Amino acid sequence: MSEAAVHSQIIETGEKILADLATKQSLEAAELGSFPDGLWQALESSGFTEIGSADTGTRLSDAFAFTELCGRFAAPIPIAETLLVNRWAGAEPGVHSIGLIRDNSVHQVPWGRTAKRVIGIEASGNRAVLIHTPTVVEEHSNLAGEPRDRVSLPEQPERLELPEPAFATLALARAAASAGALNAIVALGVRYATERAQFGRPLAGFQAIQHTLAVAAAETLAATTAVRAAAQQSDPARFDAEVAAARSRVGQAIRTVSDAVHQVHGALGFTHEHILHHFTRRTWAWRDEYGNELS
Amino acid sequence: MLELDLTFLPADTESLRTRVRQFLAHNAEFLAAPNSDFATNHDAAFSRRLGGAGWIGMTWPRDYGGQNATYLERYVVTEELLAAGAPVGAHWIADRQTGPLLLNYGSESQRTSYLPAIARGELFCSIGMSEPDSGSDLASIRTTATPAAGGYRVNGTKLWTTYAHRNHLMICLVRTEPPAKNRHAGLSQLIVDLRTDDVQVRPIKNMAGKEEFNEVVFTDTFVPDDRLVGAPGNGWDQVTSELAYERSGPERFLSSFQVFTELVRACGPQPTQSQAVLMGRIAAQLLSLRRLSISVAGMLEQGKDVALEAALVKELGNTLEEAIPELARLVLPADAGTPGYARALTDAILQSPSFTLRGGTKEILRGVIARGLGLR
Amino acid sequence: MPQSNNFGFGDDEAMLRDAARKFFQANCPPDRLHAQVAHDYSIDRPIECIWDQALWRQITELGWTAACVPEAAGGIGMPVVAAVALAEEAGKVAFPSPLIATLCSTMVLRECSSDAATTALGAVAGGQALSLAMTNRAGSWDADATDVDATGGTLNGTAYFVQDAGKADRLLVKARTANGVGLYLVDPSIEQVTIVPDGIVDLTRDQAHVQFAHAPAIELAAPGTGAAIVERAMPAILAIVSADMVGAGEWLLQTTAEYAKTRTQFDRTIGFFQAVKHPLVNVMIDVDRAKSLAYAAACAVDEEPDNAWMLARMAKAAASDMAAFSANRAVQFHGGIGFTWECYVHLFFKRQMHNQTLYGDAVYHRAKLADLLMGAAA
Repeated sequence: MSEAAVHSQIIETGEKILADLATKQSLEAAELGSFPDGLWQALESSGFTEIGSADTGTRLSDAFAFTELCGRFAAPIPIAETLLVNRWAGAEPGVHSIGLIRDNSVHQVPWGRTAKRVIGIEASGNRAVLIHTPTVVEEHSNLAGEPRDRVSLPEQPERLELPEPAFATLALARAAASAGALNAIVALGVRYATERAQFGRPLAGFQAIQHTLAVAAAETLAATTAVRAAAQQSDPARFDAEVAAARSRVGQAIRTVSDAVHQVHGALGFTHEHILHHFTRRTWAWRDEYGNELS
Repeated sequence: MLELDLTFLPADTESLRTRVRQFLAHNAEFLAAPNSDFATNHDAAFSRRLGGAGWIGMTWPRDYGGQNATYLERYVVTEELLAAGAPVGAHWIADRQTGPLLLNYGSESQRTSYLPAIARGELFCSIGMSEPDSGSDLASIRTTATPAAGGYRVNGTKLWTTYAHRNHLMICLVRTEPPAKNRHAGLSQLIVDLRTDDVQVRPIKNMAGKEEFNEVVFTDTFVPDDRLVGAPGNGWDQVTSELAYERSGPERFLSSFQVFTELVRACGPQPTQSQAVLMGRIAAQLLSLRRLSISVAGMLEQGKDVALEAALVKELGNTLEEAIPELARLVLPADAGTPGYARALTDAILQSPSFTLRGGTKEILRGVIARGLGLR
Repeated sequence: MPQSNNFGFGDDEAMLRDAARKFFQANCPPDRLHAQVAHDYSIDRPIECIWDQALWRQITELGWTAACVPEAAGGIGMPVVAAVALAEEAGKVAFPSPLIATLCSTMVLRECSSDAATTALGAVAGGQALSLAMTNRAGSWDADATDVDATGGTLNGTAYFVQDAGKADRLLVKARTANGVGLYLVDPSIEQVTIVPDGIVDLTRDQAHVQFAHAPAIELAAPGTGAAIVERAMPAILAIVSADMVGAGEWLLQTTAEYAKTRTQFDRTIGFFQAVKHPLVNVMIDVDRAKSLAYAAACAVDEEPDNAWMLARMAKAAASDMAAFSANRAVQFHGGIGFTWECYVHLFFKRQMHNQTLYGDAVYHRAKLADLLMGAAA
């Protein structure tokens, strides 16, 4: 199968699974600490947790594309981490995760409590270690309610050699997920504007709403373009710069898009009941993980 | 929401890029402009040299003076010319719009009589769309063309016709039938010879003090039949197809590029934090816009409809090129930088109000995007 | 947040403002301004100083330039809000004159408390136009920065960014001595002074750098006292320049709103469209905010000097941002017409451009505000 065909098959099948199983209920349950096993098993049995690993016919850029897709559904799973652990340490079934080494622990580990393996990386430098059956020291979560646990660092952890710069790769994964979420946010805004009526016509009939959403869509397109360009960058020497550009562009878009779409939703978008915040809060959390727009 | 297949420039375009840079180095005496604004520097001699190098009409068939090059190759050439601040104003419209229009809709004799001269950099064209009472609302134009023996009598006024006082032809949108319920019907395009047809061209000084755009007045002006482009009444479709070429190129985000390069130069190796942050933000935006613009060129290459994507590039690009001087002056005031920086900044601030007006106002573009989103 | 108690005008100030408004509206319509400063313009035109000197004489005879000159010195003795009101009305017609420069100069002279300064204030009341020559080549707005030296009663060096230098009868020069910065009065028409006009975008005023070569000067403030005097005068100067921007912003807003009510596209006046009317409301809000802050700053100078610096910096920051925004939206909503030379908008656009950076732009003043609020250590 050609690369393009592999890519579009991943997206099409993945989209079906996510649409069925990454539901609002699963998002709410995950925020209360319950891992979405059904969704995970569906993805794992289709091979989607090994995208980007050796001998799967897929590339790292496919892993970023799938991460973007999961972002579009706000899927409450450590998908980028699992894909990267499987790529870097050999594919195994189960949930895997990644965090940052600091002060003899590994911090900010998504679903560390569920992970079978955890890779610890450093903010700068190349040290990476692999931890089997990790011990969670503290359970934390980010402002989107996603688990970000602290895992203890064994005394003599297994060293890993990584084929790509770990920090920048994770930074791009967050940007990719954010780009997916931004697309979902704009879609929610468009849908609401066409369904909600005020003054006797749909919100979409008002120029102020049309233009607000047009700008949000343009920002989202620019952000998505920057992410995909970085993901498909084949020159390793340019990878860091492309990732920085993608993070910067996505960061700028997040502010504009979330402001715009929350504004269009009115008070409804500020309720816990509405699904919008599952997306916007994630983008606000992700933009500060693995650096921010300024770093 | 809005999907765009990314296109990357093929590796073999790098040798073309090198050749364009060499050409510009050989012709450095033409590079005196303070900025990269495609519309502000008209230099027939430069255009002739560029035509001689084969870089005008380069995507057209060889039979018409072209090079059979791809849109991606053309992208590389235009990007290099703009980045260097080359005076491209004379041939820009002919190369970008008039040529493709005639290739798509023109008669064989129109193609053979105009295209090779355009490609040589000897024949320059202007756009005749806007009128005093028709800016954003293009379909409301009132210039009429009524049948006369062997052609048409044209009456009305065209406005904002860039370089009509220095160019040879104007592609003029006219009403050949009275307005009907379908306001887009009954429009046609005529080729007007600005040198020999009986028209009055009056330059209008812009707020920067330069004479670039014009008012063109028709009073029973005779235009022969054989200068009708395409079918009568098909003008609206033809014009909207032109707009796609008009809105997606690098000229929509590089107009104030020189401010950025001069800012980087003036700040030197140790910028302040606010300067570094701004330069990083601008660079990130330029990179993503460049990808978008290249990808639209890739779509043009595949013959796709790019009207929506072009509007998106222009919206994002105009926002950036207007913001660059405004943000730059806050981190480095004009009088605190180098003379080159001050010149580029002042020029860009005075020119920038035109960025979000020409080629479709921002308000209109946002309407196009909103339609693409299904909001209207 | 400091609040000024006395926000409004007294009857005298209101009368002065109304008289100025009537005078400017009657004598300075934009078509006349355009004919005056822009009619035969070409980019290669030599820099010249264009203004209506007969009109200027009327203004000085009305005593407006001496609005804030103490009565003892022959002036009207009004508070700073009066000068701010005059500047706002002048800004509404983008008036080419040394009015702003002279008003700003009287603010410095008022702080000098020397006989020479009192004499100079009297000369203003007698019709003299003044300008401040206080900025160094680097464009620093710091009170002690200057590239002019004073020795033995003569000045040497160059003052930069001198506003309406070609229209001033006397220059108020900040100069350095062995004992610190002093202030001096110089007649620019003497041969030891050379005025070199700068090319600026604003067509409604002139700017120059002024060279002094052994230029005889009258001491207004003794060495060592100059910086503190300028420091005390600066809040009033910022309020006056902000008011000029407020006036220009008001003209841009009203003119654009008028155009939006008459220009038709898609069978409706363009003011009907939310994309046009909503941003115009934002311009109105910004003009109002800048105006409130400019008057609050002027009141503070008059009534609560402790708050003057903070309010003046807030006014200049808000007015500078408003200046850019009001000019930008005016051109955009006029469409192609707004980008032409014949449309009057560009005269105000360029005046706003110039005013934005004069005495520090918005970023500069916000940084200084942060120091004021949190202490320089923060």
